Amino acid sequence: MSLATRTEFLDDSGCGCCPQEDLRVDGRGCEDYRCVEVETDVVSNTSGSARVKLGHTDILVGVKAEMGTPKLEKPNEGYLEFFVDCSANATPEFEGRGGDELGTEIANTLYRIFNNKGSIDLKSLCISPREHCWILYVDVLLLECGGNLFDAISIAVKAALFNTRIPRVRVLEDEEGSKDIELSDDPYDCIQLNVENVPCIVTLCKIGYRHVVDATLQEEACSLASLLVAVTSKGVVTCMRKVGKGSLDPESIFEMMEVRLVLRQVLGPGWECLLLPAPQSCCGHSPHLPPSPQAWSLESSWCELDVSELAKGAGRERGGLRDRDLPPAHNSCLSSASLIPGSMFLKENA
Amino acid sequence: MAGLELLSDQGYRVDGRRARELRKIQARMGVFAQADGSAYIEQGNTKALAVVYGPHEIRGSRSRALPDRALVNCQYSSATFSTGERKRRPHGDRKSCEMGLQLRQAFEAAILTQLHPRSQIDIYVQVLQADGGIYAACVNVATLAVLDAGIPMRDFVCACSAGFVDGTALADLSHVEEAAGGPQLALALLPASGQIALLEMDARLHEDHLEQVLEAAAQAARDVHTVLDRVVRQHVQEASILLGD
Repeated sequence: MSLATRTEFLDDSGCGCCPQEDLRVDGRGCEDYRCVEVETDVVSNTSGSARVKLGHTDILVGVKAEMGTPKLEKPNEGYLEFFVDCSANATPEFEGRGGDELGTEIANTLYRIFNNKGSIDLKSLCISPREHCWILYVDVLLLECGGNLFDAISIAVKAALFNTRIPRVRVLEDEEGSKDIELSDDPYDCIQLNVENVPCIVTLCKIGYRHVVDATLQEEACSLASLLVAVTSKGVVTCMRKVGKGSLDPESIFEMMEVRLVLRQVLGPGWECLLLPAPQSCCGHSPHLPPSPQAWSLESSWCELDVSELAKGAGRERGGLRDRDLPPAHNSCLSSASLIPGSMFLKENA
Repeated sequence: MAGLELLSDQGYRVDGRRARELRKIQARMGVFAQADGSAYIEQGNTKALAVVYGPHEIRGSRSRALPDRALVNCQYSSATFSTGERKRRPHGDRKSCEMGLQLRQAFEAAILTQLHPRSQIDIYVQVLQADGGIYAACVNVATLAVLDAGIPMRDFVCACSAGFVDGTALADLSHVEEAAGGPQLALALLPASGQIALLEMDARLHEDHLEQVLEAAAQAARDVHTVLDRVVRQHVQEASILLGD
């Protein structure tokens, strides 16, 4: 088939975009993300919460820490429970039991990406071996679906885990051997989780002969199949899945993995500095200051990050991975604004 | 009510409010782009979202279609992390079904359903954080969402709860006050006509006090109407500026 016919075929694929020329229907390139908004500490009766907006996709995650007994096979570890609620708010098709299937699929993917020793230090969730541990209930709520659910959910889960504060407890043992659990009086005396190795999902959608990241609903509709890769900021892949009804050529899977490497460079450090407390992190001067729990609990932070801008910046630094230059208007890729805690839906829409 | 004084001698409640004082209400319309109408409300620490789809063709079996008016379909669900203790199911339990039914009755009374025969209007309400007065917050946010969708209504539906402690009626109960176990009344009002769209009372209350409590709830609902009216007017103003009219 000649190149011309191929392009035509792509144009007929229905979404009106032409990934061959690295130009999508909304003006992005194939490896560009939409603007991501992350807001933490939004629901006050949870241990940690986050809301992520990626284009029209809107996700709310709440983490609740509850005390329970460790699993038999892992007596000195706590564990995470995932639940995804596809509420009817997102689309009327999810009414009643309609969203259960998708919810289970996403929850199972989350179990899988966290099913390794590196992702999160589960030993720190143990209170007393075989008897008590913390169970973290990670509840994901879909508020609006605008494509690329998996990526947005993984970002939201990571942000919510970062925001999680678990009260510190001590186990007191008297002479008769009976144990008593004492909760710390100081509300700021709590443990935080290290989320450095929590993976983020990057979904690559195959459209025609090219693949795109961060597909919108329309692009997802005309994608044959997509590859879902969970990757940490260090580049460790914790899960890989092919989703969708079509089939993929092994060649193209390796090709997609290449893109993922570029993106990982971008997403990894990007998220970490994003998740640090405002405003130091967002000015970009000292992105690795340790977060102070007091500042966090008193003030929620809301940051906006345009990943595609970061991608271009990173590309330039690494010797021109991409030949397009950074637009001069974007001197800073991170911007921030302070808000009243939990005022998530009350701010002006951009 | 062991150990907890719900109303102090000076007339202040646990959170520092007066007996008839409401919690702070903040609301916003048009929070989602994909739905026909949407709204978000915060009443104190209670936060709720509502989304409206429709009027559209009947989904599912055609036999449900009503020949003379629109079918109003409501679903209430509350996030698993919304309450102090984690909930197992977001919707489908008995309480959610009951809430859905009550919402439906309240809105069938207010929406001009006869204008859209053989069609369906979906109202989905989601509670994100629960701190008392859930029913009232749901009704108020659903009203805003229906208005945002541009569906013709007879009037606003404004709701508020009221309780009764030590001979005094309290408006807009918080979670602490609800959990204390006194009588509580939920009231949804069509403020212009003063008609009651929903009335529900739990626990026992002497007949002589009922009028006082009812009056407190009705006044509170009228106060809620003032706030919601301001929100709607502001939203319309913003929208018209954006449209350049």
